[in-house]
Amino acid sequence: MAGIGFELQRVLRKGGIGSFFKVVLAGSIVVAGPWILTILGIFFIGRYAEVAVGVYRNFFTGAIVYCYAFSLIIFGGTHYIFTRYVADLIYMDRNNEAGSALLSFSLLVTFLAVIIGIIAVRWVDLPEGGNNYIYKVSFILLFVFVNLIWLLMIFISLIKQFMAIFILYLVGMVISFLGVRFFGYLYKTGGALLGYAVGQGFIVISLFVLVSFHYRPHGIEFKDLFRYVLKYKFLLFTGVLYYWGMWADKIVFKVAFGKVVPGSFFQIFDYYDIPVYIANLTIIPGMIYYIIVTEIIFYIKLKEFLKGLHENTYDTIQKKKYDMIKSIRYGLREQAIFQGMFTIVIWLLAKGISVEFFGGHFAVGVFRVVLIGVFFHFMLLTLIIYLFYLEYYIYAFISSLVFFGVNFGFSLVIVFNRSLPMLGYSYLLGGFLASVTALGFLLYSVRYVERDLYARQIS
Amino acid sequence: MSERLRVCLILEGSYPFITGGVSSWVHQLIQRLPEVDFVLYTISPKKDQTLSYELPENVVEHVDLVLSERKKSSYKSLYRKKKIFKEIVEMHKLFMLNTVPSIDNLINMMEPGYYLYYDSVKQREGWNLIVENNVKNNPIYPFSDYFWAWKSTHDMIFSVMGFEAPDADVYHAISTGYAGLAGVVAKIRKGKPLILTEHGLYHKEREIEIRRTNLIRGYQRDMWIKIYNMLSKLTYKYSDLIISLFEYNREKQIELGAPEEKTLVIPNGIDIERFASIKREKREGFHVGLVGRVVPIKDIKTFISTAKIISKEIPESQFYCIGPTDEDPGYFEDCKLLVKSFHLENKFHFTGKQDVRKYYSFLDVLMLTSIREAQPLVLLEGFCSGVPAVATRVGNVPELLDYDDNFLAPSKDPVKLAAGVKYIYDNPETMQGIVARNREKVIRFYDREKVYRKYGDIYQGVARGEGWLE
Repeated sequence: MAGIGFELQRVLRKGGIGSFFKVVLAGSIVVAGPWILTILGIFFIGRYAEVAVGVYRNFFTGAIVYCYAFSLIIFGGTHYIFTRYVADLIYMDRNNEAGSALLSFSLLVTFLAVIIGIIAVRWVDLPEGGNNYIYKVSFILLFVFVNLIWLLMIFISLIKQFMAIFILYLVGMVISFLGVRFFGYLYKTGGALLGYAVGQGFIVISLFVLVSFHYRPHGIEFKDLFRYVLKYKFLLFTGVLYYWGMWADKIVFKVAFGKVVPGSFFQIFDYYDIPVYIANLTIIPGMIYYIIVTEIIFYIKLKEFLKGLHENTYDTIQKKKYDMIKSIRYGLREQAIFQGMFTIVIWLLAKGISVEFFGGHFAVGVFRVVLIGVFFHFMLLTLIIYLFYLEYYIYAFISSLVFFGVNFGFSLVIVFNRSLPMLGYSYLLGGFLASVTALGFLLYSVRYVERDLYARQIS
Repeated sequence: MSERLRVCLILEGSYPFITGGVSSWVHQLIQRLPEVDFVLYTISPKKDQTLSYELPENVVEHVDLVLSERKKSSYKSLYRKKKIFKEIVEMHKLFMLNTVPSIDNLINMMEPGYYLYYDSVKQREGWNLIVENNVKNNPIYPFSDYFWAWKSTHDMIFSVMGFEAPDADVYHAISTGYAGLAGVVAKIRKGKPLILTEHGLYHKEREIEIRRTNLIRGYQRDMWIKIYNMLSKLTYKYSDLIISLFEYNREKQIELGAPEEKTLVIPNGIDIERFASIKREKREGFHVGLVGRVVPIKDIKTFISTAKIISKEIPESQFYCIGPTDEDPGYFEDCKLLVKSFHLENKFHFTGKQDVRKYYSFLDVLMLTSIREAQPLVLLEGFCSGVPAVATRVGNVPELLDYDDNFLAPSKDPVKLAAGVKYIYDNPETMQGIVARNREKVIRFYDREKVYRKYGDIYQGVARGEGWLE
């Protein structure tokens, strides 16, 4: 991801408010494209196209939320392996193979997503008048598109046409919005979902065309990708557990406290879900800051250190290593301050947000707890990226395991005690303990990183 | 002990894959001792090499350790690893003091199949050893160069230490180096005696090679030389019996730390009957021959230069280079060019591989211009056939030529070699006595049958724990 940071920094150096917004928009798309789309989509459609969605609004939002959540829960882990594989291919200047990898993996994901989608829609039946068949097909299409957008996101950070990418996203969202209105009036809830899916489909196809210009696929190839799965199994497990950790509390609370939407398996628990989605948005500025500032500072020091490993005396290697360690400490401190300040500000504004956007029907207490949880979640994510850079996949895996284990376990405890005031604390505790674990591993192991890198070369 | 004695021959870069003096010696040893079962434990650079010898029936097993194959292994127990590395650190401290350490504890802690390739770097104590030595000895060079040099010097040691030797009653290493280390490891793990036979001096030969090559330079050169010396010292320390082919080498072994009471000289032998039965017949002219492969180590170019000098002084002289020419085609082409440029085409003959007895029947002088030899069998064959010799001062040659300066020359000295030939040409009466004495010496001390029988006795004695009988 460091490549995009350099590019955004270059844009930022041009100065002016235009450059600043360009960086913010491009950064937002890169760090949280589908996520923003989902939240903004639900918000705008809920506000300006509710009539088009029809009477079965919960079926509409349920489909979008579940497609988004389960795309990460089921396939999120594979994104990490895929990113590593593609990054290696591009590093070796094998761009066509990177394009082939995208095509191959997209086909595989599409195939699996269709199967999962078909199974899922067996338990969803839109009541009469909602156009059940259109709804089911649209659900499957949406699940496929969301999954493909995640994969394409890996590539869009490599393509420097950020404005074009932003416009494609925007056009896709407009198509979704208009599609909801147009098809919603024609085919009710099923049509609304179809309209939304069409917009997402536009994003997928246009991004795929854009990516293919740069990374032209020349066939289908799975063998190397499977080899990577075996070689970097801990990277895969990290991804899986990280996303499970991220969703564990939400799923557990939905199942335990949520209301079933009749005729579906959707569980709605707005009391917790809405504060969680809003709180999660606070990660975005921190992530943009990370890719533009923190990651760049670290990456430069890391590169110098790695170069030194081959060219310098042991003393010089040590000096470069400690420079790199300093950049990690500095980065963590800066990120903590940046995210911490942002968290405090939002924490203080929580009541205002509740009144302004939700008419006071918003669990401010839960929101504040989750906000702190998001802070630690963000720190964990930052630490995991450092661990990835240094290829300490096993430590990233253990940290993710802690994240998932604590969040899931403590969520169950909350459920069994029916203690609603504790909502959000499992996520907070999981994020906190996992961050501490990752921090401990990182600061301990980075001291011996040159030894580990040499050991890795001979293993 | 099983009914038939089982001897494990430990071989590095020779029998049964490569032909040459040592391989031929091993092949004959096995053939001459049919009552012994032999197990071959070979150390090879790559796998599936073609056999150059048909293995005799009493070779009952062949185990090949391929050095290029890396096996990943690591103990899970940190405690166990700590113990092993504590031992390794202590061992290195002694190395630094130029003392040969005992490695019994270390080998006993490491099960066969455990290789140190990874842990030696990953384990903190191992890494610290690498770093300390780098900082202490080579602080101004890139660490990476040092690391890879360290790795290439140590990987083969790790391969040998982790490999499980086949079972045997006696282990017999045919050199020091990695074969010697494999013998030491086998002796410790299996609790069986170890015999070492050195045809040359392994560490010296490697040192010469290292100093000649441009691939290894500076501190890396010293690193390799130190390691080879240490491997030899270690093998000497652990061997129950250390055999050399001649006295000079035995003295060198003792100098490097071989306990004198364990050393013994057993020369190479030849088939006396085969060479003593040759009927000598004088041919017209004066015939000088060199029996050997056309390769740089035999220094055929010096032989050609010597021929140039002799041909001026003895116009009727003829020269024969008797041996295979296909091992180093480039060198052979160079030699032919040299012959042409010296205008010796009518006098100098490359015969290719021949039955040497045909040439021993009429040669007036046997020439040996090698830059390195242990105990050259061709001189023994020539002596037994009644041919006098002029040779370079290498290996056991001075002893074989009774340190007579008339027949000895430094390496690459065609003038002195030519003078030796001229001496033989000019003193036929004196030479008659010398030839008879040489022949008698060979018949008495270098009979192949007696030599191999001696090895049979040594195997029996050592296996029974009785030592060996002089």
